[in-house]
Amino acid sequence: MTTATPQKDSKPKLKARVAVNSANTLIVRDVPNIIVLVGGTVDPGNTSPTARSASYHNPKVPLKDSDSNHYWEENTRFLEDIEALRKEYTNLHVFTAHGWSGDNNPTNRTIAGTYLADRLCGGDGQTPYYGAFLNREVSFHLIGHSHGGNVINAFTERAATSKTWPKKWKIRSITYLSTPFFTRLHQVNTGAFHDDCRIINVFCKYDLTQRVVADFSLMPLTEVIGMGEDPKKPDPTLVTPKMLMESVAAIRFDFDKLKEAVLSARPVDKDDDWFGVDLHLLMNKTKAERVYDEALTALAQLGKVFVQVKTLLRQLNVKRKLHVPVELKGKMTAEHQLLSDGLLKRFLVEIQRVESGIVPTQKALQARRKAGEYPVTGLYDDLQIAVFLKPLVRLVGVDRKTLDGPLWSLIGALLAEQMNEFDNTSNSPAAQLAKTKFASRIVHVDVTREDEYHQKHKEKEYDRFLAMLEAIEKHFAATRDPRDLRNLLFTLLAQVEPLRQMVKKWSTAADWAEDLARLAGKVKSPGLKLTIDLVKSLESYSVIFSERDAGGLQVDVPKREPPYGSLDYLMRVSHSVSRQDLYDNPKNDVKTPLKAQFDTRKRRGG
Amino acid sequence: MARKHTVKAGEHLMRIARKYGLPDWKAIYDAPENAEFRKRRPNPFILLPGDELHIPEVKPNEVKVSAGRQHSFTLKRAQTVLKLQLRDEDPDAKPLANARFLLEIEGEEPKESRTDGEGWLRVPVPIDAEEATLTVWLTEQESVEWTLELSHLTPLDDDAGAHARLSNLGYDCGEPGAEADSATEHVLRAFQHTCGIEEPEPLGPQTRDRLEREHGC
Repeated sequence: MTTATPQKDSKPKLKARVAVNSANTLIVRDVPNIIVLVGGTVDPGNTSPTARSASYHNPKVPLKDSDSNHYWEENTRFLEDIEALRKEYTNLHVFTAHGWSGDNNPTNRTIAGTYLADRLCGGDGQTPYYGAFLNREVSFHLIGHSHGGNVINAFTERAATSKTWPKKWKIRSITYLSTPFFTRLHQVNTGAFHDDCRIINVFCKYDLTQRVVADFSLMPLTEVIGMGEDPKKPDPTLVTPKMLMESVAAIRFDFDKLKEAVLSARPVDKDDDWFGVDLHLLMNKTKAERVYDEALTALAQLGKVFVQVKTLLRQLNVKRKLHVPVELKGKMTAEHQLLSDGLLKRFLVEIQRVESGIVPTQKALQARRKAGEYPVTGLYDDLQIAVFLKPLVRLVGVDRKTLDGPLWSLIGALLAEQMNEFDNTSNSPAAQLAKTKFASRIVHVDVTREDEYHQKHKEKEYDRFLAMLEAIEKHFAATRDPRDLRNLLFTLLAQVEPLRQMVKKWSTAADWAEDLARLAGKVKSPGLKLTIDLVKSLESYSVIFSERDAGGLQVDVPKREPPYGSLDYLMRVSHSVSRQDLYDNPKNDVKTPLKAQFDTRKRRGG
Repeated sequence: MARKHTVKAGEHLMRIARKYGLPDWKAIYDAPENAEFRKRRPNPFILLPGDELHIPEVKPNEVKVSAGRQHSFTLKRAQTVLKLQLRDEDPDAKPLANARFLLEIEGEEPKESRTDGEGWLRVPVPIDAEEATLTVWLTEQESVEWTLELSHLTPLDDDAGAHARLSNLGYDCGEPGAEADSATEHVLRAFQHTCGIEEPEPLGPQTRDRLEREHGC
């Protein structure tokens, strides 16, 4: 027998009917606390019909061999921490049996959140996953990464408004991991919040997706560009963007060879008469042959590219049936045309203009090569200026101020046609909760120092880059000016290595343009003038890039993929820092505020 | 003279035997007239109000003793024991080992002790006791208290028996009564789902077996 009896709680008594002389079981009740994990976007371009974001894997299968849809597959430390919490508390459950399309599309996110809430409580004809808890007080702890946080917001809306959601079920915490918080879309509804609900906002400053990329929700592009085809039965007639990129990369033209050949030009007297003079400005034969060969090879490859571009554009114009997940039946567009008829027509007109010059140019270059004599003016004549170079120069031309030009106008229009929604995002849920009592219950956890890139001392450059992007987005949000989209694109491209380095070199094109201009003063050739225009275009690109160059974000370390500070790194790696671990460092502590929200007991002896 | 007895709530065979002056409940249970009853009620401590029993005649036990000498007789009193396994409500349902408890029954000395390593408490209780208060300390500060309705657990013939067991196992069916029937059915379906049982009836044979096994009786 024990001595001092501790005080009793003043909680109401429970009732139990038991049998004597028989074994009975009596469960010591505790408030079920349920952690719900929600994965984020897995298919930012909405290009795959099979990709989905699943929060579960088969526990009988090792993680490394598990379902590729398992969103948290690589976050073993995070999962281990969650499992450790489950063991630390008495009645803590982890709900992971949720999957959604993972598309970068607001409709899908809303449906995913609604479906999740219904699945837990049995709304909309679903079998309730927690049917045994329907009449009980239950505390939910929602943890979502990236757009998974917006799925959670859709969940809060459903929980607050659904008649099926039990009134005793309360959301006691939400942990947003790198969630882009929209200004207009996916607003949180606090109707089903517990009075003590706390919001834990985990972010990394280098997370480009949260700050910028996630602003753009795209149309469902699934299968539209033929990338969703069965890999076992590839359609040989289809052109994929990857194939096109490979073909473009194979186009080579060494401008140095052209420069050498042009500058090698010397006057040669072609009059056989001793007293007569017929001066011709001829290029060195060997150097000129190199240029002609180079041009012929480039033209052949260019012809191939044009054929592929046209095929791809027509593919994009075809109305395709989209894969519609079960949850989205009747709620999602089942057919989509990526490229409108009008825009296709505009593209084809521009391409036709340039393409029509390829064959006559090839013939002229081949004839010159056969003749074996290379006057400087002949080169520009052979390039069939009127039908080939002129439309090409016009196509790639860009205005430094408006950032417009035929090609960029088309690309801008193409981007605009894909954009389903634009809504500026921030890295804090404060604005969404501003008028609620939960505004003061947000815990911000900055995990920037956990990002390896943080050690590379590129903070200044990154801040400059981000300031540019945010200014553009702010302007676009207010005006919807198409120039902003082009500006955004150029600002992103200006940071891409080695493109950045390559365009930097084009700044010297200005000097060369001056040389050419001097020559043009001596030789009347429309071709030379066009070449000067082309070079000036390159110079424009160089200026546009340099104005947007943040100073070099990328830090190359051997065997590091993606490289530190590359757009790929900032969009994917920095975006995922928050889900690597359930951090509990004193300076970036996620675990402690989360644990403070549990109202289940700690296991005794634990 | 043989009689019939209709079981009332809170009765078990030991109490009934004592009421009729029978020294051993087995005299009733093993009576050939109660063969059908035995089939229906394999556990003589879990009866359904309304059950009918044949009560055999009381046959005084005869003992031959010599006169003029002193003899001592020991009366073996039937004893009832409360056997409970306390478990945490968690996905692993861990036993509440070595937990301090206090059992209070009106007119009796309170009994205070600790559960064993498997969370069991075994405490003798008076044969007529129908109610007890059980307090279990989870920590020095936190306790939980039950009113135990002793011998009021009924067989799994109906929703009331299922309701009581489910409730003891931590499922919430609400208060017993007409409105709780649909809730009990709902919870039975949840129980089936948890145990992986697929039966058309909410309280089919597999579900009853499993519920009995999980609860212990």
